[in-house]
Amino acid sequence: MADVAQLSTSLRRGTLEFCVLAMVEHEDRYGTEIVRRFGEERNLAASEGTIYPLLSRLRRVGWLDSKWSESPSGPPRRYYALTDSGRSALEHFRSEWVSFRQTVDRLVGTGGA
Amino acid sequence: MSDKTNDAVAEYLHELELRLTGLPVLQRRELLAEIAAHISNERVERSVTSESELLELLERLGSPEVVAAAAYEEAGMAEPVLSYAGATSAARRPLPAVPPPPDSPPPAYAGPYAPDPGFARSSYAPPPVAGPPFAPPPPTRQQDNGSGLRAVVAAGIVAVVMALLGCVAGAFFLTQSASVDAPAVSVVPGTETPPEPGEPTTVPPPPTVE
Repeated sequence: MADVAQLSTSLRRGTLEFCVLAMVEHEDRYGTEIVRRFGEERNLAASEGTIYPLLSRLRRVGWLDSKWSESPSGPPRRYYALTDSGRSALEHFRSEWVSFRQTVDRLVGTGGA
Repeated sequence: MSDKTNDAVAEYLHELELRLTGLPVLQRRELLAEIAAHISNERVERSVTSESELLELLERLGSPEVVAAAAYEEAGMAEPVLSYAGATSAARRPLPAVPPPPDSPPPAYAGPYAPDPGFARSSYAPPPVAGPPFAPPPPTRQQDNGSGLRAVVAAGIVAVVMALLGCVAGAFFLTQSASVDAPAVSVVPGTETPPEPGEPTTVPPPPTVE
C-alpha cells in the first residue's frame, strides 16, 4: 500500500506543475478554482492544500504571475496567469513528455494499450 | 455554530502557522493568506455552514503537517525538525492511525529531494528563469551532475566489488586446498569404513546357502 502511494507521489512529482501551467494557459484562474479542478482528478488527487505551495514556487520561478482581485461574492481571489517563460516551459515539457512517454511505453510494454 | 466553525478555522490556521516558522516570512504569509482565502471561498461558494461540512473542507485541504511538508519541499528547504519536533511527535502519538502515512513521506522526501534542487531549487538563482533557452541548460546540467556522480559512484562500486571478488577468490582457493587436504585425511577414516561395505559384498555369498 505504501508502495502504491509512493509510486503515485513519484509520478506526480515533476508532472503536476505542468498540469497547473496548462490549466491557466488559456485563461487566468484563481487558486481555489485550480485546486478544485485537481480534486476531480482521481489520479492526481493530493491534499488540496499542497497545491498552494506549488503555485507559490511556480510564481517565484517566474512561470506564473498572480494578482489579487475582488470577487463578486466572498473574499478577494488571487488569479494566476501564465508568463512567457511559463509558456515556453510548458511547450518544452510537451515535447519532452511525448518522447518520454513513448520510450516508457515501449520498454514497459504499454504502447499497444 | 458559526463560532464553533470559526474556531476550527482559526485553530487550523494557527496549527499551520506554527509549522511554517522555518519559511521566509513572505512565503509564510503568502501561503497562510492563500489557505485562508481558500477556506473562505469554499465556505461561500459551497455554502458550507455546519461544523461537519467545515471539517470535511479542512480534511480535503490536508492536515497542517501535510501542507507544511509540501511548503518546505517546494521552498527547497528541509523541514526544521528541531523547531517543532515536539509538536510533530506529540501529534503523532495521539493520532497514530491517520497522520503517520501522510506524515512519513516528508522524511522520505529527503532522498528524492536531491534531484529537485538542480531543477526547482535554483528558483532562487535564476537558472530556470532562463526562459526561452530554459530548455537546454537545466537538463544538461542535471545530466552532467548526475552522470558525473554516477561515474564516480560506479567506479567506487567496481573497486569494492573487485576487492571483494579478490577476497572471495582467495578464500575459495584456500578452502579448495583445504578440501584437497581434507580428502587426504578423510581417506584414513575412509579406510576404516570400507570394511563395512566389504562385508556386505561378501555377504552376497548367500550362494553359500547352496
